[in-house]
Amino acid sequence: MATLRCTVAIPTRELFSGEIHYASVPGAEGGYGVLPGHEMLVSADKQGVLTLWLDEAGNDRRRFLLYEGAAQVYRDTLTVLGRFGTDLDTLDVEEVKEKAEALRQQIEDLEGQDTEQARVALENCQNHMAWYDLQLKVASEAAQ
Amino acid sequence: MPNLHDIERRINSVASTKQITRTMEMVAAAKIRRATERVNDALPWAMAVSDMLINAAKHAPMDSEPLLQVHDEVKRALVVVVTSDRGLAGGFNSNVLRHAEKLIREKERQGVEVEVVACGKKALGYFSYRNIKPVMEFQGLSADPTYEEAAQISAYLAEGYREGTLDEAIIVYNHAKNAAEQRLVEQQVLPVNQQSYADLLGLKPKEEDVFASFREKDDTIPPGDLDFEPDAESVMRYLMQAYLRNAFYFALLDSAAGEQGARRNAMKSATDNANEMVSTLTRVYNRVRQGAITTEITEIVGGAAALEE
Repeated sequence: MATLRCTVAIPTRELFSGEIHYASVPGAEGGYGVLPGHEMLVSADKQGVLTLWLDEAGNDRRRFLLYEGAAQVYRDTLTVLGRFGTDLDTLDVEEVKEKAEALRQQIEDLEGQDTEQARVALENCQNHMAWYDLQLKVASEAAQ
Repeated sequence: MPNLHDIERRINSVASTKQITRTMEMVAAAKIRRATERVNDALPWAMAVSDMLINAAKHAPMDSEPLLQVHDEVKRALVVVVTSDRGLAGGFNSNVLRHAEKLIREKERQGVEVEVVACGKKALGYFSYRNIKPVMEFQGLSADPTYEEAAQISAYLAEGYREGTLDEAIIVYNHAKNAAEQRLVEQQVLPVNQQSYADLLGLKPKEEDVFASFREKDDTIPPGDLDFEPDAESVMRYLMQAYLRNAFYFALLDSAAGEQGARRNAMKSATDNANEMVSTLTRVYNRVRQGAITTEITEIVGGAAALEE
């Protein structure tokens, strides 16, 4: 069966690169599936789990949690980008909790400042915090 | 003439300085490798964003995205100056700062109000001394720049450009041409100028002959329409925001690699100079020592001759 070339990346590194049979992408208006021969598409994505089927039956899967990004299907190549992203199989909940705690402290500090830079930094931190919350939510749902 | 003890002390002092500069040279060399790895790690995302922009631009209406528009008049400009936090890197920082100040003064002469973003302690110190208050400042990140830093600068710029409070954005930084050479770069980020616009979006200049595209088929565009989800405007907005972040992130990464390259060069020169100085001082030391021995022998021989008489 035909395959798709797929790349998953976040700004600081590549999360996956290889051939896949099917992908379930979290789109802005709900998830959609991508098979080889899919029409050309560029989408702005929100947040959610990207699932890649590495074999035809879907027994070998990779799952990535992504937060804000874009996806493109062009000439049988799927590119999925996330502002933040992680491999769900290697998600370390304790580490996320620690980082979230440190960031919470930083947000408290920024809230007391009224400079333009602090405002922009605060927005950025809140985005980051939303990403940590999403990871913790998905991890707790998986644990139940 | 200095005595033997003074020269020996000086040789030891230069040798210990040499040890420090040699260590700094090796540390900088290791950091160049890390900086290069960081650039390589960031490449897949950057290439994908540029690829998506090129593909989307061929099918999307371009008039709707404010970040792709050119403002009629430039009243306010943002100059982002990227330097290092530490010195001992030769002319790395002074080149950037001198050029940035010249650019700011030139813009002000043209009646343009300039806002400055200072990245690196050296830039912050330089502008504070000249009573230029940066709108944003970043310290302690020059050797290990973060994407968050780029995201903050681009968020401020995108908001200002969309609202019309900023009309132009320029980055001044050192490009690491290779591990040993740095080149000063003044890059206009917004408005995307015609040349980089064409490079970025893969667009050709508008042709007078509107039927040319029907006669000469462009194989790079696959047949059929490109769908946008939820719509072309949202997609272009996201991609342009990502393009801005990339522009700043790569300038920061490039400058970090250049900083280490410049420091390695400076420390290599310092080590070479120290080596030269040690060998010169050793020669002087030997000459003085030889002179002292000769004097002693002469005195003994002279003394013995006097006794014989």
